[in-house]
Amino acid sequence: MTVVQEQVDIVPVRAKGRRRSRNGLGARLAWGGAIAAILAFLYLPIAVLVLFSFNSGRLLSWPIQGFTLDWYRKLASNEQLIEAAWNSLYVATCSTALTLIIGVPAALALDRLSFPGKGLFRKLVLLPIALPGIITGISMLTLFRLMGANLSLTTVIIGHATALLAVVVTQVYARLQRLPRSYEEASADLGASGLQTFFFVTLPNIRTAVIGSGLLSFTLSFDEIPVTFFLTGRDNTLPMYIWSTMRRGLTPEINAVGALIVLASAVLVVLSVLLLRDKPGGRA
Amino acid sequence: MIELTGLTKRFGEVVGVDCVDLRVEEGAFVTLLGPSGCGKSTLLRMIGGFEEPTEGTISIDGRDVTDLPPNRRPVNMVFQDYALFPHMSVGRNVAYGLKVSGMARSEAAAEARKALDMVGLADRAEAMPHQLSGGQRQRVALARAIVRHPKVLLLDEPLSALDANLREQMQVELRRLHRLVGLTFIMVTHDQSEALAMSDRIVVMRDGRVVQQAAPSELYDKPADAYVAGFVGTTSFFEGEMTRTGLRAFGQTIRAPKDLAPHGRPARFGYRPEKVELRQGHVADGLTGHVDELLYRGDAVRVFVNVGDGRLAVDLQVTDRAATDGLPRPDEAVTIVIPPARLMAFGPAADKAA
Repeated sequence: MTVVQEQVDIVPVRAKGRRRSRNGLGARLAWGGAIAAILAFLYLPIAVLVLFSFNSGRLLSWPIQGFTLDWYRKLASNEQLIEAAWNSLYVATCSTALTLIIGVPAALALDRLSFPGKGLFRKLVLLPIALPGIITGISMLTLFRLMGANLSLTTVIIGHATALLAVVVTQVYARLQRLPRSYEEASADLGASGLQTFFFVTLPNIRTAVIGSGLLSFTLSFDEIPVTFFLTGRDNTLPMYIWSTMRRGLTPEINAVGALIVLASAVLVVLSVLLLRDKPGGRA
Repeated sequence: MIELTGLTKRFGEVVGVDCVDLRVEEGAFVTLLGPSGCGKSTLLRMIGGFEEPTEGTISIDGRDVTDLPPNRRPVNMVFQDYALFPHMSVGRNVAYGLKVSGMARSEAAAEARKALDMVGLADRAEAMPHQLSGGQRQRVALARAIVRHPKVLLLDEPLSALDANLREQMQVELRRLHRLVGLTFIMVTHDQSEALAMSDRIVVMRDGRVVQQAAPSELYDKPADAYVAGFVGTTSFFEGEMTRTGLRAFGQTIRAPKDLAPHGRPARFGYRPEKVELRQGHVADGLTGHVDELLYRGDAVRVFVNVGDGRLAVDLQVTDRAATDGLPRPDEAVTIVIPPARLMAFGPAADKAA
């Protein structure tokens, strides 16, 4: 009797299964379409930018007239632009280093120490990320004026570092929270000093968060305008330079700069993937 | 030798460990046993240096280590989650404690290999921790802790993460390792059978205090109070009163040592269910009642017997004969015969601590 029942049961299950797989195909097509649309939404503008950087005509109109590397050649001889690019690199590198030097210990303090006002400290550290860049820029400008400091790339670096600190602190803090306390206890138990524990045990385990937030800080700093606008002196950064030339109209030269920045970003992304890649099996 | 004197840990208002005095002889395997929240882990962590005592002192071989940080104590710990460093190979994990104290790389690697050899994992030195099974990780944690030749090895619930089969195997391994290295082991567990199986001495804790410390067999046969009797092994409790003729309970009188408990006052008594006899029908000098229910356990059957207004348990070994002769049936009249030496007394009847 049980056998009969089983046979009866199997038939409807199979039928249901087949119907579901047909639905699955439709659903998969729909999902594929949606994903393509999202990707187009995200990357079509960039594709257009790169395409027009090779356009031999001066006008931004379809179809493209011909292929040329002229705009890139022009770039290479534009001293103002190259100087701005170097400035941007310098600012992004220094502000990233500064945020990491302040941010990693701050995250450690937030996670490992308990002190009065810790909750408030955490909120205050994270606040600047929610503040509009304009507010950060104006308030720091006011402060530097009061202190009688001259505006320069150094003031820009300090401005960027304050705005980006929250990025590093949140990422590193989140990673530390997932790191079992027993690792550090075991290290101390095995005779390691505080510094040894940090460099041999803690840092290797939060390394991906440090590198990731560092790269994010770097790119955010590299294309930052509002804070830079208020805090820079005579020196220009790349986004500032692009923005100022835009007032004279959109040139194919700008497209070429844009394309180069896209390329640099892609290199950074690949680099970060390579750096952050775990050994097979991943971490515990 | 480890000596704890008046060791106390308060977390705000809560008392975690309450004025514990304890001496652990060199080379002993001592277990801190108790339910969760009894303070046994806090006590262990204070010995390791991870918690600062509120009061009291800890000394190891006559040296006061109360104020020393963990990295300067001659003590190593096996953590409950093993805490193997996930970014280091097994070999480097074990060599870590030697490396940070300045030993040359090749020498540290050789020592690590020796320690791994002791736990039977010499061939896995190159593996990463995540490639090991739970039992292997446990052994690596052991090797890492003994490689520095500490005076004391602390084990925080070392077997709780393993499944039942592996646990017994590791119990044997731990005993063997203890014999091999001759270190003092202090283990924390909430598992009474584990404590009985492995320790030279068991320290039973409750609410931050030491209730009893004794060798396993002594603890089992002469529990200090009803709490220990109920926590370590199984005890069948009943209330009665000592009279001149014996122990009177449920309106029946059985033979008992004269000095078992003060005469003429109701008190709590008990026995181990496997140390008594169950006879059919009414037998003189026993507690007669009716079988209530049987729980079959493969190697034994626990028989619950209603005696007067109480319910007592008797464990019967299941041998071939018992299985064929038939076990007692529900409602059958039976008598529990308790050898006088197996009776345990636990103070006034009002004490319902267990």
